[in-house]
Amino acid sequence: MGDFSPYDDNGGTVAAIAGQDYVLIACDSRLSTGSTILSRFTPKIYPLSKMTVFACSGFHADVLTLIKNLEVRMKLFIHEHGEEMSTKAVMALMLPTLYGRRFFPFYVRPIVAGLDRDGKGLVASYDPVGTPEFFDYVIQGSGENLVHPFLHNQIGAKRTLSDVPVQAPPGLTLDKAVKLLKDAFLAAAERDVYTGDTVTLVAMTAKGTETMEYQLRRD
Amino acid sequence: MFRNQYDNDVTVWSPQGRLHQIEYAMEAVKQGSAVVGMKNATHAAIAAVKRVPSELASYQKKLFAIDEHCGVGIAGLTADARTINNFLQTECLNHRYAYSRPMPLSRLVGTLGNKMQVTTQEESGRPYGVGLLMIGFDHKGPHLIQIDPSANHYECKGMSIGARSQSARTYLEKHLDTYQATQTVEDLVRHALRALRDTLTNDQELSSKLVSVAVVGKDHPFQVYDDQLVEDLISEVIKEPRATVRPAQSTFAVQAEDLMEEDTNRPPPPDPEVAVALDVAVHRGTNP
Amino acid sequence: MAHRYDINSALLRDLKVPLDGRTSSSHSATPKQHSQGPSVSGTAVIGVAFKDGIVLAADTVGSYGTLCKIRTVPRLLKVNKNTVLAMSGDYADFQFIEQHIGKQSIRDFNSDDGYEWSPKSLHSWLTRVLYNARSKIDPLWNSYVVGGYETETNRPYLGGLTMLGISYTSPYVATGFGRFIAQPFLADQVEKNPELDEKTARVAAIHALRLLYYRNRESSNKYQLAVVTKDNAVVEPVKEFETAWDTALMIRGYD
Repeated sequence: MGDFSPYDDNGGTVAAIAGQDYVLIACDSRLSTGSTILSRFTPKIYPLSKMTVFACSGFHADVLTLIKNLEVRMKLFIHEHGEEMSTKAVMALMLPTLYGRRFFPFYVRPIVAGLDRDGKGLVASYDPVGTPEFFDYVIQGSGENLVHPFLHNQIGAKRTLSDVPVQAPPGLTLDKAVKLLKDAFLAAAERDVYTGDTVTLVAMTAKGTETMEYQLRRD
Repeated sequence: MFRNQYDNDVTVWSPQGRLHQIEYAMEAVKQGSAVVGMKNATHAAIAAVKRVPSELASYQKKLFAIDEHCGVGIAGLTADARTINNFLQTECLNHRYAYSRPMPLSRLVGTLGNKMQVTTQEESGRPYGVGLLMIGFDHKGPHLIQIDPSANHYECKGMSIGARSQSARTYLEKHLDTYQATQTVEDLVRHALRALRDTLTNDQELSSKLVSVAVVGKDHPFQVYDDQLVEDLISEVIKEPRATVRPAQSTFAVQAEDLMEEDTNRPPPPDPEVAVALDVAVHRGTNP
Repeated sequence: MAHRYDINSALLRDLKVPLDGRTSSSHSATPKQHSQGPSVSGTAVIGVAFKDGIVLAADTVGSYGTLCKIRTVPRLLKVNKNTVLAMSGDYADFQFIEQHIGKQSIRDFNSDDGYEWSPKSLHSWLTRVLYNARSKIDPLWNSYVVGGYETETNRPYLGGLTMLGISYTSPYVATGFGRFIAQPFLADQVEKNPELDEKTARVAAIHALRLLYYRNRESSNKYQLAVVTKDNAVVEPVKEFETAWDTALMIRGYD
């Protein structure tokens, strides 16, 4: 008693890769609090529009509220402009939405991923108060520290002595990207107790969106 | 000269028990170009005639999305309609925010009615000078609702408001069973276009520039179809022979309802003698 | 017009009403005191989804610290024929929520348009209320399980909610201590048998309560079940489940 905290960390990992003609987003589906699991069936990817998805780990109540706020602002945009927001516009919208709570921040690690009007993949990640960063590949959340070096090595060819060529787009195909992120989540689930149950991969191309699901460790 | 003593503001009754300011606002609706709406078992559609204020200006928008599950067509003061649309949009957003599901049309129109009623009872300000046909789809199925400046609203099977709209209502009454039984969205829209066509003057004809159509229904979010999108249906409908065009002197038996209809060939009635009684069911026979 | 929708106070009329009505200390000389913890409280509740419905279960104790202050108190609320709510945590805060759900139900009834709470809409609304309360650092000290039958999708609905506003859905849910003890057991039952029927779900729910009762001094074997199937929600009368303590004799080292 007497030690109420308005925050919690519900764990989970989200990742994305921006390709030349695709974007791939992945998340796990475990929702934890402390050492217990709240739900094994809560993927952290949320579609925002035909071209844009949002993926987010952190404090789940803030995640849900942030999404509701984004949805409202995106619908007002449609009312005013008669069309959906572009992925770039959503990426820009994140900053004021998050910074608006600068002094009581949303405790979240969001990624916005989608296609631009030419079908090229775009990925942006944010800190809890809205600082945007744009990447070819990114991973955030409880498995971040474990898996980031793997992606650096395999995609960015950083910290490697081998002659692995830089696979970052345009070299990286969607098939290869799917395999890499699947492995990344299998690895994260192996060591991070807050990542597990299911990995959901969403691949977007100009042709459409495909969702894949694979089992992860459930312990 | 006669001067109406009972229309200075909306709070003063006339000895006949009428509120003239509200009746004038109802007249404003008839100045607007026509909007037609109808529904079948699964969908509701509205069609409207767009006006262009000058050769150099764009066509005035007539149909507006409120949310995924509803939208409105307007006749009257467009600027007033914008205020109302903002209100309706915000109500729908708030409802979704709290309950994660769309706002039922009955509730939406109820809150709008409450807002509009205030303007019919307050000394300062004026009633809204716009009429709306709202279409939507909710747990009860498709809806078509007419909303007046008097803050009355009616659930309808088919309805038309705006200039020369009596002709469309005549069509809607005559073909009630036919369009109610339509099985496809296209068939429903065809009826809407035919009804709308009847409101046009002799020298006018349906065209994709002139007409906006919107549809909402089961698994069909509210969507406005402009320009090219309605072209095909329009080109089919205009091949059909036109309904009897009313000459300047109507050959139909003149009914009380016809007197309420604005007719471009007849000078508008003098302001103090508006012939609209608030409680007259103008749309007799089309209420559910 | 630029700011006609103020998102940071998009805490809506519907939501402001409950939260503003709760405290009236603005005229008080002492600073406003927010609740620092629960007083009379209920322990874990559980929920299980089966093929064509859901079961919620709760014992009936209202604890005041370690005191069993109220032996028989209902912790399941039937909202309508499709929706049931199970609470754990502070009982007064639950009664406050119960009042507002009831008021809205009456408004819905008076509207006479067939629109009423669904499990999903109740879950969503409760999430907003609890989240707004926590955001004012004036939390409602409850966890909830919302269950029922969603007529829109024609499927059973089962969701959980914590006092901070963390909400989620799952085919099995438990609050508080139940997350440690009941949830693994229910997961086992549900995942072994994806086509779980009502009878098995009831037995599983009662057994989950039994597991909790053996390990939690705040609970009891007096319990209530709620079963929701399409257009039929029943909160059953209070019953007692059988317990067996004969194995207790074999436990050494804790006496």
